[in-house]
Amino acid sequence: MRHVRAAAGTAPLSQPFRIRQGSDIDPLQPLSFAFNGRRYRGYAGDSLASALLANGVRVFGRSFKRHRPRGLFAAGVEETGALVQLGEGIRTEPIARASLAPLREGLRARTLNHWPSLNWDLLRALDLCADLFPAGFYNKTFIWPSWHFYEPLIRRLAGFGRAPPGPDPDQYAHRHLSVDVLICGGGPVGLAAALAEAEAGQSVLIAEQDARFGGSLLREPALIAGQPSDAWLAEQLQAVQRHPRIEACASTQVAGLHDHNSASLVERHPAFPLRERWLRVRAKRITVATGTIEQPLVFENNDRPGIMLLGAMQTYLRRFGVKAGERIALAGNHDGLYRAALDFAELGVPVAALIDSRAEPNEDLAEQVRALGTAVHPNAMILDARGGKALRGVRVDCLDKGGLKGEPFAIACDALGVSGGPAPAVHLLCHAKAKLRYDERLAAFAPGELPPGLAALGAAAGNFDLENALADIARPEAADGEARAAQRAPAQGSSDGPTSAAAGASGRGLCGPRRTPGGASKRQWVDLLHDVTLADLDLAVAENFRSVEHLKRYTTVGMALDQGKTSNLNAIARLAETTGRPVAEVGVTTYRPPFAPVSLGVIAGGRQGRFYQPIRESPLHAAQARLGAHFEHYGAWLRPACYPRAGESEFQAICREAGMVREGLGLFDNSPLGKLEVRGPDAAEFLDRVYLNNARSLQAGRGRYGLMLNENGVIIDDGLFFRLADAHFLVSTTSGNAARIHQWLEEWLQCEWTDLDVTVQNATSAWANVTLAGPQSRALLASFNTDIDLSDAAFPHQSIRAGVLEGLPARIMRASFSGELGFELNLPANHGAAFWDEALARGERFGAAPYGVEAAMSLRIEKGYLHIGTDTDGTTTPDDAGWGHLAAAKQTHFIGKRSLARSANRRPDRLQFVGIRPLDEQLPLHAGGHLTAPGESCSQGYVTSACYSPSLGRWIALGLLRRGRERHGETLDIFDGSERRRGWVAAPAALDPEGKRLHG
Amino acid sequence: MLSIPCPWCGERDETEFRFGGQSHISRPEESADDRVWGDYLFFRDNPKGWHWERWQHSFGCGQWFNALRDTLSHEISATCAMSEPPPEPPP
Repeated sequence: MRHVRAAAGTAPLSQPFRIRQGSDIDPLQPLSFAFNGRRYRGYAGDSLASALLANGVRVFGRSFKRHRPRGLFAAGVEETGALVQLGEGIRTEPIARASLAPLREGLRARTLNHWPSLNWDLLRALDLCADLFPAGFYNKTFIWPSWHFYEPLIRRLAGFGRAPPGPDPDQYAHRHLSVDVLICGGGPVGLAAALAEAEAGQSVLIAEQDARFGGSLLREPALIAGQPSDAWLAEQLQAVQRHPRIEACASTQVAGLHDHNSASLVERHPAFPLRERWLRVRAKRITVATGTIEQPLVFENNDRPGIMLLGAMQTYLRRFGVKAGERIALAGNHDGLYRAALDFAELGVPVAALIDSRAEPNEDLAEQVRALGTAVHPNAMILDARGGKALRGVRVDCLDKGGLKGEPFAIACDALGVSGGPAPAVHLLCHAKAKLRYDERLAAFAPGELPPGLAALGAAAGNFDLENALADIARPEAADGEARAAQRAPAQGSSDGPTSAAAGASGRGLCGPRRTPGGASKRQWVDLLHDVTLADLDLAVAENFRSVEHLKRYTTVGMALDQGKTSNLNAIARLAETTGRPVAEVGVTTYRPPFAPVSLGVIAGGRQGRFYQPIRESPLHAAQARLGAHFEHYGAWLRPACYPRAGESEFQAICREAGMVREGLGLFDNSPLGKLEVRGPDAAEFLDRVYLNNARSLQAGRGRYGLMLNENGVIIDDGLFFRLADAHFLVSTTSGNAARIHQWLEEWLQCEWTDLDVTVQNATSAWANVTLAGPQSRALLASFNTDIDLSDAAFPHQSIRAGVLEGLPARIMRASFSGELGFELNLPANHGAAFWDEALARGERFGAAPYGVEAAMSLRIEKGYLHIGTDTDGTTTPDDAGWGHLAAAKQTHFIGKRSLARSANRRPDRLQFVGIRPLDEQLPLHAGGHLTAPGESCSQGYVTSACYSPSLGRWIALGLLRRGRERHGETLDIFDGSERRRGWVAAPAALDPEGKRLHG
Repeated sequence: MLSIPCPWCGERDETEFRFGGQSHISRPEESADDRVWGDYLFFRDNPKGWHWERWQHSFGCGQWFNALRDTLSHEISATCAMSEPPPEPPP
């Protein structure tokens, strides 16, 4: 390995293509890393790409479709070739852009998309048979016998890289912030704009996707106001970082601009231990200073490793001290080539040849370059690139009257910098609904009309003259943000020179052509990432895919990881050419967020695992945990499913618990039951309109079972509602439905019945609810000190009493969801657990134990009690559920009443609530099975709930069945999973249909 | 994400709100025929431009209010309490 002493540095630099120190690397911190298993060395500050380039690696992978060898193409998000499997194990990242991966000690990366190896890729055959894979290949080829016949093979051939083997171990976060001005892009223009805004009193957030601020000046220094740009940049940066009103975020990608000036930014490695942070920004104004994206050239074999964007070549040389090759040629269509050649020479890298597609280049510049020994070929373009895994040279021909002269000559080179000119990076502006205009002079799209609050500055606005752009910012009348350079015509070409070259290249005068004239071939790439060639585009046009959106989808041009950052313009230009339309008329495809790929982890942020959604726990939760409860999620609540004892299965526990309630006594943590306080002089009137049942006639101290319907007449909730006093009701909603019903009642009060004097308050979590169920429940309750008369006569079923229980304020309801005598005790939430423990201890002599939600469900299934959302769906009306007589009897208005009269709601063949008894009494049955006539397959309904009934010693079920009520006794088939079972239709209540047990 | 001016709390992010669809829909009497009732249940305007709609600041003050929003630009030009008469849309 050759050792080269750094030009300015002190440490020896030990990679063959590392010729100087570069501004980004620290030669005192060598790092070792591995690529495809081979060890290399680089330095702190390197990217994986720059370190590999320094070590002479040229092939970075195989292309997506045709498995062509591909090299490093860019130095940022627009990378098309250096896509690697980064890292190993749980943190491995597929399709990582090597140019964005900071080098670290021990980093391991691998190339993608080859078999058996990068050098000997048998799938290379796919390229040799390129004729077989035209645009629309899939749609045309895999028709017979069916796509599914080919899919497994295609799936194996396709795809890029491997996903990590397990869940992402890293941490992510979200941060919300609002600022006066968000500046996207931390180049010279963005920095100057940030300072100007902050000086004018605005709070500013400036985001730069690179790890360093400075933009184009980092790769291409210039003179700014007669001062070297390095010094100017250092000054600006210091001012920005010290300014109290500026927050400057490097390594932060503006992923999208959204409605009302909101923006999504992704910050890489913001602070240990976060991997990424999502900044959700709301700004009063947004300024886009994102600079440009350099466009490539189109010629035969323009995808060879060794061919890279000129700006990338400058970046690797200036910032990382790495030259792209031993013998470098440049090709393009603007003055920037010459300035780059001069700069390269100054850094000790002579340029062998410069190929300019313009007939009349800037002679001053051309002379300066020639004087350095570079062969300048104006009015010339590349015909073909030679070499396989490494570039060996190019064949060049001169242009003649729009065609080629036909006198090609060869130029030997192992690296070729191409530049079809910079195009304004307008993506973010388009997210924010900016209009674009096609600028013939730049041969690119530039921002046109901008919505209020949005501004574009500098090269992103099509103004490639840095001094001019900076002067705009400094001018006081430009301080009004909305009148910013947005609508300004770009500076007209005049004073040219290396001093104003900061934007990357000159836009003065027309750019030369980007595509070498001649026929389209399958070796002229437009989209390197998706392997779309000029021939593919032409075929699509020949097949009449002439809209830019159709062309994109048919050929997949611009649909890869890079979203066409270096391919859209060339594709659009070709479409315009072949369809004989101006480019402006062809237009662009829609740019949508994100600007660059965003990890799913950062979108999820902290909302992962147990923080995925809030989990609610009852105030009695700890007491249940001590009892060994098995918890399950029921809606937002984490509740005891059952309490298995030693040696008991869950099934056995559920059966024991349900049987215990029927025979003696069970305790149930019913705290999640919704508790809405409805008060006011019009409370009775309001509930009368809300419930299918009559509320006005309810006496104080009594309760009633009620159904709530929506305007379509569909049941949305059920439960008991109690009248505590004349103008005070307590509404019990289904557990987990309290917030929704609260909102529902508020909406009616605020939007429709604004004349009613009623308030609704959700008191669900203010009370713990200890429910006693079973014949012995009164006996247990009576053992406590209370001022409430518990006798059947004084405290009948469905009543409520407020009083004192063991010194605690309590509301006791006599109610039952089990069909047994039952009392629901509402106690202040923080006193509930003590009472629960005491009740359990005293209950022992009645054989009492806790029961969970699953036993509660079996108890109500035995009784045929409806569970809303389980036994009902989005179409179930009161009549379907067996409560039609209530609806018919109620004279006054209620929500949903009018809809119940619609003919669709009165059809006799509606799904109706029934009981189902399987013939095989001991075989488990499941909810969801379809019901059919015996031996037939047409569904007539389905099973909604099923359980084993310990009291009946058999499996029972509930369901919805067409004309179900008139079919009691009829035999049916039940599709239970893959099995066909036989059963018969019955009334919903399988146990105690008369309801005698409610009275103990 | 929209920024919605709650008449009681001021500008807040859309995530604090709940959308309630087109506003100023009058609820027909129970005696309405099926067509009128069907229109009320199922049919809403879908304009390109100004649209009166109702929002609830559900994670804030809990109040419903009306907002005039341009469905094209998302500009919200006016809000008013449920009881206030709606101002005319901008030209």
